[in-house]
Amino acid sequence: MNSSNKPTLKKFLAQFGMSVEVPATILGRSHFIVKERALLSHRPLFSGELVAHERGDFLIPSVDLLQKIGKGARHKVTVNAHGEWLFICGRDVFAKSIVKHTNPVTEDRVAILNEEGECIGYGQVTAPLDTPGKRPVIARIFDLGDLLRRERKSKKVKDDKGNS
Amino acid sequence: MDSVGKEFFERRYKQIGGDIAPLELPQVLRVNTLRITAKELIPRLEKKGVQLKRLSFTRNGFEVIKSPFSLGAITESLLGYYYIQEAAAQIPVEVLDPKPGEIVLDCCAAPGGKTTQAAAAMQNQGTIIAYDLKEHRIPSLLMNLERCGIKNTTVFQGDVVQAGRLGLKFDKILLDAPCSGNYLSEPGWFDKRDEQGIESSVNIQRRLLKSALDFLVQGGTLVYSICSLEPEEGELNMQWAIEHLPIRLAKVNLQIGDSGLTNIFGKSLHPDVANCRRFWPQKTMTQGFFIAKMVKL
Repeated sequence: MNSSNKPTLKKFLAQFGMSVEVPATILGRSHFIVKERALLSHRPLFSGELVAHERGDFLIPSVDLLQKIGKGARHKVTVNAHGEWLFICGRDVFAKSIVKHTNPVTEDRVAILNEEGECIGYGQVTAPLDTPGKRPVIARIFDLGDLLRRERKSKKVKDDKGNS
Repeated sequence: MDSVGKEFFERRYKQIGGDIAPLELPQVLRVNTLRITAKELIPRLEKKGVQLKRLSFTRNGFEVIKSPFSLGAITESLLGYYYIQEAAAQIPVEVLDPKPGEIVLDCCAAPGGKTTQAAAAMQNQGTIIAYDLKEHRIPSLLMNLERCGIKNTTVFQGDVVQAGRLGLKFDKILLDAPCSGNYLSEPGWFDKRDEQGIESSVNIQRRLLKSALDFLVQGGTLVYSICSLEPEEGELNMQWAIEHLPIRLAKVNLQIGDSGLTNIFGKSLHPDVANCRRFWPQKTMTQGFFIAKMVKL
């Protein structure tokens, strides 16, 4: 990927209707708000407040940025405890799990909240939210469980290399 | 490797007043006060059927009495509201007592339990520099820093001896050193350890101690901890430190654990070694552990 195609935080947040400037510094493939700038020349792996990670042509938010999305997104959908559990396991959202929403329409990007008001990920509306039946109405794009899956994947890669 | 077996360790522990107890350690979590208070978290987990009991000897530790599911994969865990961290492992940072605004070095940081605990004690203010040598341990460290909302930490992969190039002096240093572990830390432990392995750990620990002290301000505190019961890695290392390094051993004030041993295998040690703390599992109901607090002269 050349530098002009690099995903930007501004574009990433714009998909949720958020207009926020984040003064981030890229370390490896992660974006940080760095406090200790003098240490950057020593090539740290992590420094300050993590904002997002690059994954291919996309960004995925840090846990903290995800909570900011949950507060600032134009469209939000709250799911019940069962829907929450399925969602953080990587499943889509079904109409019967939805307890409230801000009237998004098909193709809108929506923050998914649990009943405590915490953002657990986001997705894209694929059908009217009152569509009954077995078809999901929101396709999961990203969920909090990604954190664990990422860690497990990195462990597996190391194991496969035989240097666990 | 010529393993020496359970009988060898049983004999040597008996010589220094210990024993081997086949315990099943309880799961323990530490509330991440950067994200939530215990008062908010406990009723929330109770609603899900999780039963917790406060540990008397840590500030934010709770024993898990009952949980209908794995506590590592639920939303509250993913949001960093708590960290599953063995009880004894929570104590070194409490002894170090890092404060907001201080500059702290965490020498062997992965997977991040103590780093995140120190950052919480510092209320995300000041600076933590965290090192870990092993590449395969870094992803867990980074994941835990993200999960727990840590904002005052900079991580480097490498040997902590490289911290000299940063040009910093540290107010406090945590050296949770690589060690032989203890018989509760992994299945089949007795068959995987021998005297050469212990000696090799001792060499690494002394090298790390010597290097870390170079980066500490005069009058600064270094907490040394290991999850090993072997006196070579604990009290005998402290005797070596008194003899070779510019330190004094300060008293570790804890309600739990025994004083450091001052007579080991017929050898008398400096009386200050008693200021350290030794955790025999059958007495503390934790894993085996040893903690020392050094002040740089």
